[in-house]
Amino acid sequence: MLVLCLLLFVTAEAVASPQLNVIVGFSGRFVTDRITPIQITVSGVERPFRGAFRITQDIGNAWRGEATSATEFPVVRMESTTYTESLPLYDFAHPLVVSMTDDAGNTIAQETVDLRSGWSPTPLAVAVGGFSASLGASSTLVDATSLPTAWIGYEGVGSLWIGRLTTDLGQAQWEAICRWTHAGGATVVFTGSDVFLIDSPLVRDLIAIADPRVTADHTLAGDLRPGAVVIMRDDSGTPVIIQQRYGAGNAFTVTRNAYSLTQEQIRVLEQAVSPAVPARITREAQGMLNSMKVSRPGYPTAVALVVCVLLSLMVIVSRTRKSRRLPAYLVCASVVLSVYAGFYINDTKRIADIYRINTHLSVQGLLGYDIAAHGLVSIGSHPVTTSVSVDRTAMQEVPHELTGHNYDIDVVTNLAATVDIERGEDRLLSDGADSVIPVSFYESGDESIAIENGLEYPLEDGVFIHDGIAFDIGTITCGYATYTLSDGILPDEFLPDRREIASLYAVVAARYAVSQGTWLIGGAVSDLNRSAALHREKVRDVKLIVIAGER
Amino acid sequence: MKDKRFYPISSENVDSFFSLLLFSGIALVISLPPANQVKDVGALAFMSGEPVYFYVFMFFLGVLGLSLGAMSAARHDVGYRMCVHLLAQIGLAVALTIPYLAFARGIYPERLAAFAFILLYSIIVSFLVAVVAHMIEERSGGKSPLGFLAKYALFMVYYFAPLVAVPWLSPIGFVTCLFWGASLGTYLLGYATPLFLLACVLVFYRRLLRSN
Repeated sequence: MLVLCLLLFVTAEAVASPQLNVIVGFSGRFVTDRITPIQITVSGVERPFRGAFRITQDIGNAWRGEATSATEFPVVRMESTTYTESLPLYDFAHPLVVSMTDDAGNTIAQETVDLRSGWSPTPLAVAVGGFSASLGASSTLVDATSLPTAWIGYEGVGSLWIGRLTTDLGQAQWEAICRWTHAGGATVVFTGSDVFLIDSPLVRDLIAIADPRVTADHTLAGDLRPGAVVIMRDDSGTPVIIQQRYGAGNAFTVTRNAYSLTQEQIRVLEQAVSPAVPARITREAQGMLNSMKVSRPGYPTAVALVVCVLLSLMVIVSRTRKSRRLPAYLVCASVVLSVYAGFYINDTKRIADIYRINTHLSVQGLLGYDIAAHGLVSIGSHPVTTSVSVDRTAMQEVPHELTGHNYDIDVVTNLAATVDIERGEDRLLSDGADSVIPVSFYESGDESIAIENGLEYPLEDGVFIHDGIAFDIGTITCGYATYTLSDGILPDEFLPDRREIASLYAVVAARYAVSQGTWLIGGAVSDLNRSAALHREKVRDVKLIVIAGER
Repeated sequence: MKDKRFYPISSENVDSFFSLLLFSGIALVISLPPANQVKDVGALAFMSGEPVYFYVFMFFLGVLGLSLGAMSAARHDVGYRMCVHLLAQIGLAVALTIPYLAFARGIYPERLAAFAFILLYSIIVSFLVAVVAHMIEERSGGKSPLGFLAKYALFMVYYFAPLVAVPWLSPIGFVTCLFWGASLGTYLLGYATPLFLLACVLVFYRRLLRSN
């Protein structure tokens, strides 16, 4: 009987082995070279344990060259539930291998996902909630619960359409949508009689009507926000589709619910919605990386040192020929020159094997987010394995031609991305995360503003922009200070002194609606030389802080 | 009458010291990456990070050893005196290159320990080369072209032949090991090789002296 019980127990254990069910992208649809959501449903875990999901993917082929991407999501309490994460997808030709591992790295369960059927060549139009049949036909319909809670997970979305929600979106999902839209996304919100289903401070910030109310004919009405543009009105002149710039993105407010638009109105709306632009600053980071100054001893000093050494030998030998003091003189000359060379070679004169740039564009609207780009280039003679701190995950820019290079990347979420880099190679990684910027301001007078800078560093090249007029306020010191506003210029005409800050400011001036509302912008650049076991790195951190005032 | 007293540097051997300092200096200069900005480094940096300076230093300290050994033979230095004189001259040559080493800290940062190990090794190798050159020159009477050819042939074989199969046996190869790091066994074998050869040469030289 005991043996039978034991057998039954062992059999039950075997039957209850953990299983994984994986959905990649939005209802299985995704775009490559973008960060994409992944939903992993775990079942059969009887006792929670500390573990991780490790997701590996091959990139390329025999002709193009091959690389491997691995992303690990540590899970403090692995149990039978659904986990939603975001990861970079590089290639749809190879399957995605999702492994559940324990704390020691042993694989507990594994699932292979074929990606070929879900690939989309263009960013997706993602629709969530209920829509009229004609509106939802061209979109990827997604269940509200499966929307990512990280804004960077929406990178593959061209436009997000929010219809009649029968299932509430969580606060984290709304925050992610607002952040993504502010960072360059395109969101269409259907309101009308359905506005009560979604009403919240975040949604009120997103829609283009400042004091919304629903009229008797189930239309949302109210005062338009400054800068909002009515794209379409109905026969009575009531706005139907309103567009407003929302940070770097566009938020479209439809004043009717998702079932009330005519065919003509749907056609106009579809044409009006411009696809989202991924929030990336990798090109700017690459430019800054390329223009980094090589730290090394100077050629003139090297030549002068060699000449001095040779001259000292010749002069001393010719002047003190066959003298017992000759070696002493030579050693003295050598000591003097050594001391000079020793003082000359300081930290800034030492050659670095790796040059690294960490670029952050941190924006604070109603919510804060951070767009990061990391660049690495190696001029050292030996291959180096190095890591890049990542806020969430990291997308590596992978060229088409992979032959002869090692583009393998191993990312541990919220920690680091590890890459191998050889002489002459460079790497570019992009990243995005939530952030809170402890900087606030208010207009303390007609021609002055007060700024509370809670950062640990001052902000250089500060500029205050109000209703399309930019005021150069110089360096924003740490703590509280007031600044006088004078000599206003157009935002496009403002040119920060630091080249790196100017590069990021140009991105903000071009992509964000800085000509509307109030903005405070400032940057910081810092250099650091650091040493690892066998290589030395020169690291430059560039930050641009953008604070959007109340609209 | 010819002055037979020992001078570490004299008009006879200053050329060898000058060669060491000149070529090491040139190696130091060309080890600098020829670019001001990262974008310009590219293919021009083919020598950047390689211990070119130490290769050249190792080679010319060996050449200096050949020259010092020959002069030692001409002075008829023997035994303990020969060793002290050779070591003093090699030590002085190394001391003259210390400004370069101080400067090289900028070219090869984080390698100070390697600098010390390479210096120690280069002194041992140069001393070995000098003793062998002394023996060959002494055997050939200092005037035979065969002796000259033999010592340079041996020198080139010792420096370059092992690079093909057993790099750490070659002074150039072992400098690479010391610079980039290797196993403890390789370090021990690398140092033991010239010390063993030196011991063999000195024992053989002593027997030779006794038999004469």
